[in-house]
Amino acid sequence: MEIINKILDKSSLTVLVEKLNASGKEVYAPVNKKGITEFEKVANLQEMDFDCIATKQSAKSLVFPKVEKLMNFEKTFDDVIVKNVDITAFPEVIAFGTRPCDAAGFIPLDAIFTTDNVDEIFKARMDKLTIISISCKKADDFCFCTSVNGGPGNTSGSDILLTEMSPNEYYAEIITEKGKSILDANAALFKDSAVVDKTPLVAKIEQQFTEEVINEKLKTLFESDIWDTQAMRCVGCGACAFVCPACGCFDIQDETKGKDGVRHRCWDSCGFKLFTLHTSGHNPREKQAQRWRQRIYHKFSYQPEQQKQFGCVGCGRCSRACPSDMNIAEHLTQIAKG
Amino acid sequence: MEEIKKIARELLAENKVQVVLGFEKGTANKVRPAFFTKAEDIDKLIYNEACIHNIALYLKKDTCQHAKGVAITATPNVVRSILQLSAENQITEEKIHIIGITHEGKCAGILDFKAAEEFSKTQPKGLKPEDKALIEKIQAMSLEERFDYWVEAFSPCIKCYACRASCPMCYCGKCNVETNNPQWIPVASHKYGNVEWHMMRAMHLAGRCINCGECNRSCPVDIPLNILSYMLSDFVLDEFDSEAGLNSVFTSALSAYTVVDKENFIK
Repeated sequence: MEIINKILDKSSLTVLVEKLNASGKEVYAPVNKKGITEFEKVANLQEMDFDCIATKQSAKSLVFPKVEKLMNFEKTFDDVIVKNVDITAFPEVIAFGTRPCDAAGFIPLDAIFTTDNVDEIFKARMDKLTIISISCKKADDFCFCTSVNGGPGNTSGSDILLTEMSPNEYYAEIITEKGKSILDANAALFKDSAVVDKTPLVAKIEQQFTEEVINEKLKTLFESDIWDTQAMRCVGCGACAFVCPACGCFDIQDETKGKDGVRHRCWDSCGFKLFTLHTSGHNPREKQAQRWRQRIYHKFSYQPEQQKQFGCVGCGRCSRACPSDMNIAEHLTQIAKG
Repeated sequence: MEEIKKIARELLAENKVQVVLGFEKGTANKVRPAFFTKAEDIDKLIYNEACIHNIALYLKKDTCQHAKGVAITATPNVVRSILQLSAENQITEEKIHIIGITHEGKCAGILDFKAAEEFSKTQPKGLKPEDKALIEKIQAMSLEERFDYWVEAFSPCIKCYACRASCPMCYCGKCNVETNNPQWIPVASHKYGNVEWHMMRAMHLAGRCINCGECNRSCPVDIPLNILSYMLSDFVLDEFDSEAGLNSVFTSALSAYTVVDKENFIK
């Protein structure tokens, strides 16, 4: 649909969040708790941390939680009775105050779960998610969205994008049908507006590399020793993958007690040795450098090839969270220039 | 700083070591672990108060394992880790050249393991005031309250295992949490999965942890794991008069029996 342009006063925004809550939707927004800002359920806007550049973890857990029950099962004498999760019982969720990179992150994540085979549980959660993002006024040294086809005022992935025009006024772009249904239900709160040029209202983020150059370079770098050099200080934890909005790898775990059991889906990471370990004991990615290479290739070669988009939105979370400063933008720039 | 660089340069130039393990400037405002293999690269070696990563971790990684000699810029925490790794037969003295750095950031020259033991004993152990306050708060709790405190503290855990990955003492080729036949620890990061994982790790580190705080520094969700290990170390010191990171030979309280060990747990 064509984008609808509106203006929303800050007081109307406060009312909107209260009304969304009152209508039975669960609203999640960045909340600063003990110095760390994460997406938490909020009752009103006063709880929200508007200043946060990026929450520590992404908003992906709203549709892809760190641990999620897929089904219950019960063993009988000669059968197994499976009880699937009731996907119709999932709540309507609003992700509020996400950044354009958070919103864009749902696109590659959705592609992982719905290309070839549609993951019904993920899809059901995604269908019930509405994303109301706020453009970035500030960026930090780790942000690089403009290098991966994003931007501080980018509309991709958002249902509604708000851009602060003044402390009391937001420019609201209604992007999708989901966004429009929120507009329709709360029409009195929105004022009409012409198209606003967002450039002076959003952060300036320098482009460090381009998609074309990365794609071209990666074609011949698979056997390069650059992976050893870059990955030398990588400690091999999964922090980068787990805070990433676009990482969708998971592990399936059954937990049983007597005859009853639960099947869980848990986050997993290609940075772990165990991720590719075969039953035979052979590991096709024995070294951390090979696992680091996989991370880069999956996001910047395989996903563009298979799903026509990067598996990275340039939010910089991995680089902020890394205990040994494995800065993905720095490494990609090195690849682009090399 | 110049003295540290001079030693590092000489060791590389004379081919006594093939790798110098230290720090370099990182991205944004970060510093990061770095591996120097050429004397001319030592210009990039830095040390400042931000260099708190416990780089003894890398002594067990490929780059250092494959080198004949390794030099390491070592703060008191790093020295203690080296001694503990030696006590657990993970590294040998011949290979490691410790360039000591005091808690005040001064170069202490090259330390052999005997000098390192002396260094380790005389360097003060830092516990931040907020850590001290938290320990006092936990100690004032009843056992039930303490359990509830830790269950709550572990709840944001996402099982990224950054605590394990950045801990020099977590060098096991196969961690207990990766064993799945039988599955001792639930993989899922739900309430019990998190509690069992952190309890198991704490127990495996009791008497071995040198309290560098790296687990807490690495944790993306800021779980105060360093406090848990600190309290266990304190307990081991009280009960067994044993402290990790002071000796380069085997002294593990929980793996050795001595006639003075208390037996008051036998009832």
